[in-house]
Amino acid sequence: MTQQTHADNTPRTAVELVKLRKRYDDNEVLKGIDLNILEGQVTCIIGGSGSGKSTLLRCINFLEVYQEGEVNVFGKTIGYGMDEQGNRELLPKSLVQQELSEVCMVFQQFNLWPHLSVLENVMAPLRWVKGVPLAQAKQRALELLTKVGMEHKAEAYPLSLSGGQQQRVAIARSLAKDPKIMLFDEPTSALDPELVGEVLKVMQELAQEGMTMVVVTHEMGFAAQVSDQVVFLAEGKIEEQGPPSKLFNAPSSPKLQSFLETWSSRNGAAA
Amino acid sequence: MDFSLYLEFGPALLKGFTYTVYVCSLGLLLGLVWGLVLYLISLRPGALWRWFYRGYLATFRGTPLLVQVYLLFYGGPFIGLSLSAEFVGVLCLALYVAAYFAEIYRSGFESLAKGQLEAAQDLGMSRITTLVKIQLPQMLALIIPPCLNQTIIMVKESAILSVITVPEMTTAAVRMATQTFTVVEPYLFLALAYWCLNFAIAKVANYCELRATHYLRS
Ligand SMILES: Nc1ncnc2c1ncn2[C@@H]1O[C@H](COP(=O)(O)OP(=O)(O)O)[C@@H](O)[C@H]1O
Ligand SMILES: [Mg+2]
Repeated sequence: MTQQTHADNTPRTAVELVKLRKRYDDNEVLKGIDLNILEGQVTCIIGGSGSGKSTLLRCINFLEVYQEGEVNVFGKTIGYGMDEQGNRELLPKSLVQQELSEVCMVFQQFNLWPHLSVLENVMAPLRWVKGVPLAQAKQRALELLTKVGMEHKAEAYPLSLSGGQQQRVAIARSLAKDPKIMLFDEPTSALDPELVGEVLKVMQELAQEGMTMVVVTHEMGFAAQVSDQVVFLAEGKIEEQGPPSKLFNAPSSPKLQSFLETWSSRNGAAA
Repeated sequence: MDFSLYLEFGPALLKGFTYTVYVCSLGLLLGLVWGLVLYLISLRPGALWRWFYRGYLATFRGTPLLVQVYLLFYGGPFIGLSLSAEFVGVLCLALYVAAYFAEIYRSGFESLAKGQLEAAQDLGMSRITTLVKIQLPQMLALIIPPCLNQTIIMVKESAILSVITVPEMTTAAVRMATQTFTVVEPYLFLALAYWCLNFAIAKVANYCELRATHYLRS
């Protein structure tokens, strides 16, 4: 583990996974993941369907309970504490939520609340979690909607928007939590091709502002361009990781090579 | 048909009508709340809770309301429960209708996309806030029609409370029948009164449903 010194400009570790293991009944989905994610960096996770990408992401914000190893967010182990005998015990959900106050997730299916207007969706975390007064919450929500280019639809309801618009609203809603770390689980996979760009643009801006991002994606162009680190997951293990130039131009693992070949032949041009 | 009878018994029938409205409203209100509690119980892990929930449904949906009312009113004193007819009436309606409401809630909650709840959890919303702000408003739109049906059934079933002399409108009509040796006049009144009541319930529920599903049409 890297020592978290604040003296020099070395970024501190935002998320650290240590020998992370996750099972669904007998099916082991994550088979010992070690990963370091530095503050302010963009990490893209790629890999075939069923390789455990979503599960990995969902273990970080504890939407899934992992069984072994550790998920540490800014040095604090998520989900587990110690009882008096020093044994590991699961913490209550509300406490885990508090510890995850700086982490939020953007979902493939947006998961907006359809009975609330766009503005109300973004105001929800402000009003109902942080207890921000109405006028202030509204102002902040409008700022965030402006940031993602959706202020003109503030009064609309989610179901009347395109997928790309919904996802941008979902990003604004996540930002209302004021996170330091954002997790994206295939944020553009449910979108029509012509709508992918508008969402990626918002994400790119977030990256430029220094947001710590972990992005599961099939958009190799985005991964190559924006990420500091790419992680290739295969069958629940990290098969290869490194800077995008290395992974995309000179992959050493045969599995990654064949994964990239399949991807290029499907998408016409290489990333 | 002797319409002049209505002049004499009108006030008594009207009083019975008001009492039916009162008993049914209370029964409905308590039933809605107790049904929600039952639903929450059904979600609890553990065999005891599940056993209780299943037993409750089997008891209150598997036996006639008439039998439940008799047993509680006449059987209650044997276990130290001497309750007034009015109290037993409201209680029985609530216990009975709650069994149906619980199952309606269940189907309503289950049809809500799981992702919406994950988003709420991820954003730090507490369970109770999620319930009140996310689940209930959407569920409302789904459950109003089946709840309406159940309420109409309950209102009709409330006539059974006359067997333990709850002073509701069937009791009033039966008294009129026995005192005047008529059948058509009192029961015609009952038919009209129950129909009006259920018509009004349907109107209110339709309005609520329109309001609750507003977001689906905009
Ligand atoms: N809730 C679940 N219950 C049981 N198995 C699951 C569940 N979620 C995912 N899995 C299994 O875990 C494996 C990895 O899934 P996932 O993390 O969703 O993969 P990816 O996101 O890379 O496509 C798959 O084999 C999948 O069937
Ligand atoms: Mg996935």
